[in-house]
Amino acid sequence: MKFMKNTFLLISAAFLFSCGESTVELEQTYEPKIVVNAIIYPGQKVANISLTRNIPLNTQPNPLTLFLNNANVSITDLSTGKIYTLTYNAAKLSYEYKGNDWIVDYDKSYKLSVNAAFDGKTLSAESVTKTPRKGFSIVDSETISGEIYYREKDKNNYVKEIPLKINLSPGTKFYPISITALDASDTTFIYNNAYVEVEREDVKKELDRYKYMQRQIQNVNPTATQFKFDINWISIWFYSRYRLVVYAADENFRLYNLTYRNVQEFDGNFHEPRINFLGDAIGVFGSMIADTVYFKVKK
Amino acid sequence: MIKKTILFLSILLCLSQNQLAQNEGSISGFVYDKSSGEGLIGANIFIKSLNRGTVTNVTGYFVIPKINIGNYEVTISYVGYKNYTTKISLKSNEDKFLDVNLQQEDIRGDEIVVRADSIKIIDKLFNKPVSKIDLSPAQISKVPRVVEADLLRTLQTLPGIVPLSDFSSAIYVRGGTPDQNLFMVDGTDVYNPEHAFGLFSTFNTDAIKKVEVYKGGFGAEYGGRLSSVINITNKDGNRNNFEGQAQMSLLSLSTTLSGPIGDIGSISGSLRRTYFDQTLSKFVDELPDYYFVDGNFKAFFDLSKSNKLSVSFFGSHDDLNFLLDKKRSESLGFDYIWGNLTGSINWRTIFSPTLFGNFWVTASKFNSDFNFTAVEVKEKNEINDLTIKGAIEYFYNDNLNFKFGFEQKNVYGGLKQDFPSGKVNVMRTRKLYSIYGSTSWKPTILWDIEAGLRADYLQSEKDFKNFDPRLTIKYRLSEQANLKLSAGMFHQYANRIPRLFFISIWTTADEYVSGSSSNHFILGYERALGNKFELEVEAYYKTYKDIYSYNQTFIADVSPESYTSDNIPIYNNQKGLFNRGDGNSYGLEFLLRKESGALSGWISYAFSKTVFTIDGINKGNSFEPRHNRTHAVNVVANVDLNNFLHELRDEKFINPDNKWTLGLNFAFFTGQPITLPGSVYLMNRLPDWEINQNSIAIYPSSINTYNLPFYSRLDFSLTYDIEYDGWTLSPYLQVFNMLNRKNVWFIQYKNEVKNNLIKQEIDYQYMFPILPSIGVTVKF
Repeated sequence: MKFMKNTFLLISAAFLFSCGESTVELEQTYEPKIVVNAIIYPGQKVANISLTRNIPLNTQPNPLTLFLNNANVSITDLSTGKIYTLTYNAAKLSYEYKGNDWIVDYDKSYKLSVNAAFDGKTLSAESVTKTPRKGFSIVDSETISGEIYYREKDKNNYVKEIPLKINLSPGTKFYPISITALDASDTTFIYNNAYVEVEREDVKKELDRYKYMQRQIQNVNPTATQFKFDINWISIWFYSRYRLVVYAADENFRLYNLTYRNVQEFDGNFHEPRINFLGDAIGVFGSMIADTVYFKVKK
Repeated sequence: MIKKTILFLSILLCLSQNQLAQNEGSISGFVYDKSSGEGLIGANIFIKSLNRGTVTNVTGYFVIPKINIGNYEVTISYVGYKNYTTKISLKSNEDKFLDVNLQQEDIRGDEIVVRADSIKIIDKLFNKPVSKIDLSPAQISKVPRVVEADLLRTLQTLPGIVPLSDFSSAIYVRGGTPDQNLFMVDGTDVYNPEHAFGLFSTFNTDAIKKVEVYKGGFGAEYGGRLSSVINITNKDGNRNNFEGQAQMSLLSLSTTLSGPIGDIGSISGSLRRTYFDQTLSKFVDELPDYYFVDGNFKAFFDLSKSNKLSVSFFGSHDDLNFLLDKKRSESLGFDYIWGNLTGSINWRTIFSPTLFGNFWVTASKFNSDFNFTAVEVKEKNEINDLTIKGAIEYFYNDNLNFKFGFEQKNVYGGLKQDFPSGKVNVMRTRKLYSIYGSTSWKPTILWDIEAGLRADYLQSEKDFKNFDPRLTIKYRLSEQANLKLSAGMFHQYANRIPRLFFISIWTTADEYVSGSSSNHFILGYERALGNKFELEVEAYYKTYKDIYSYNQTFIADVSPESYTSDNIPIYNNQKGLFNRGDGNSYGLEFLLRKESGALSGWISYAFSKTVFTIDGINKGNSFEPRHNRTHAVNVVANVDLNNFLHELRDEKFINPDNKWTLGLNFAFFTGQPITLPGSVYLMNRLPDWEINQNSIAIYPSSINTYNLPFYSRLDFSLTYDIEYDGWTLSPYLQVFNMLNRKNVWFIQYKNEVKNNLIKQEIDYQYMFPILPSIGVTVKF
């Protein structure tokens, strides 16, 4: 009888625990951070240094407090020790250097220092970037330009590649490529593409996913001076004009760009992206050289 | 090497012959299943008048050396079999050889079978190595399942072994990761024992004869892994009659056949294939064309009384063809094929009654082939392992015996990948030489001390030499209780890269990734509770040094060694692929088990804690890994419904032709540590992009500082056995997660910017809901 009682108790407990639904509390995970999106370009003045704050999950940020407009922001030229203080441009919602005495140089180290107060806390962070060396550019003569038909075929009936050739920046190993469809819409979408059927409603819903594409070149031969890369047609989803921007990026941008969007593992767990900041900031302080070409994909 | 081995064997042979010159005799022989002729592993042989006994080894062989001449009554027993007692008269210098055939116990017979062993439970527990659990195919198939009976999912019900999720059959043993488990089938290493992206294991339970699970503290004869050994011995085949079994589940069809080869041996084979590619996939466009097939073949030859030979093969093949849109010329989609092929030749010989040899030549091949045409990605992953190994057991006397062995492994394999901006070519050859020796010494009847040493030498770009001492001490506390203590050092030279929906890739130690090591300390207490129940309590502490965790941001860390003529990088090394780390695990496990009677099964509880410190993760601070489950409870019950009440009332069992069997499995685990999304922020991926709907990025919380809610599940099975004219038809109903509990697997966090507002959405990804399945098994 005692055995039966124990068995009954055990089975009851098993039943009790084996039904229902479990949920996860997410309220306590927030920790305030300064979000830095700061890219400087050799040969140009410093501008568009964006400082925002991170947002707790499931909350709508207040646009008035999202952008940190009263932070102390400065960039130090580490070769001279000179500090350049940035000021806030309310129209552009970003910081910039107003003086005319400083242009970012190639192959130099700069330190960004930020200091901001919000949520009752004073947060600070700093990061150093080394700007790429001179030499990077798109080789226009061997890069797509003008017009091309979608998946245009050559005389042997093979689909033509979308060619890109660049002059490399010595010592730079990361070249992100931005492909933006300038006339992206649900009417210009290539519904009879070679890859997958997409409904018009899905295009409307996910327009930006198809409009903005990134490809990248990484770890090219450091002794090479030029590199040829064929852009796969899977990057093209609209009959549209396209802007193709290629960047020669520094190490900070490389690490961050390659990792910040892939922070969820296959078992659902999250992990940290690669961020080169000391202190309370997330984001990137990087330096890049950019070059642009335009082309059009026709029906 | 060969010369030295022969010399060593000769010396041992001389020693064993000298031993025969004494005025004593010995008893040796094999214990078999009477109906099938299969050797029985772990059967007990006991001479009551001398209070001496032993157990059969993996081939069914036993020896009791140095017995004074005289008349004795020897009892041979094995769980589930009728005892066999014989009288022998031992003469001076005589080696009495016994071939014993045990008959399976029919628990539905007239007698109430309380326990089939004549040997006491406590003696059986004493003989068992520390942290070892044996499982029979019957026990595996009785655990309610996810559609198919699965060895690895059964192991997940044992204390100290936990799963990561319902979707993976991978096992985490005492805080160790799946790559720290050594899987062997008939002596051959199996590298990726998974079908269907890890949902099922490749081991067909119908072909299995016995599974030995070592959760830690394993002897010097095992090496190459830090955490556990799962040693699977397949059936040799029925030496007396042709027999077979066929099974149909919702997933697959399988059959196992075996029969004698004249008088000299037996042959056994099994085959399993899934069939939904031939059914559902034909009608539902969204389903990929996928199937797996696996098979075993084993031939056993009784060359002579002293020489046995077996040849064993195992193969598995998975084939997935996925097209997102079957109508498109270059649809996003891929072909993915992978599989194992292993083979072994095993020669077992009795040099003299006290000198037993076991030698293998094994080959194991795993390969996968992936082709994703639309994005120009191709991958080939392979591993080839050719191993020669031998094991010698020398029984000097009842209280002292020795084991020696060697292993020489030749491994070639790696990964080749082609993608538009790079190539991977990491194909390597490795040679691993291992030797070991161990001794088991029983100074008195109360003590058993086993000490061993294993030495490894790995030849790679950087060579590794290691010595692993192992020690186990067993002590009989009372007539009902044992105490066991074990400590050992373990080394591993291989790491596995886990991948989403892709077969893991094995890599080996080299100049960038060194060998890993672990120390085990185990304290065990065993108690016989009456003559039905056995209780095992074990506490352990494990350390890990130089373990390697897959670098989740490896794409930023890999560096090429060479370049194509087009300046495209070629990655020839594993630099940056792993993060090095250390760690430790400790825990306490309880296992209450009942193996016979109308109600059999086990109840287990395990407390465990694992902490890793991995370079580059959590800023170098320690954290609990994802597989850390602080509390785990499992209840596995198998009930013979026809006799359950009879057993409770101590009445005679009944013996109906048709029989109902109920299976229950309850699992409870503390929720796993998890890193949650901590906050979100605005970030454009590239500077020329405008803020768009995908401009929200997630920043994680502190690493694994949160816990998922507890996991719990109740499974149920009901089987109806119908016996007729020597045939058994067993239709069954299985219900996995019968109360449909929604256990959170992880959180899918989605967000986008729309109309200048941030839209956030949290989806809970749940594990398996209620999964009923039916099937039928036919035995003849």
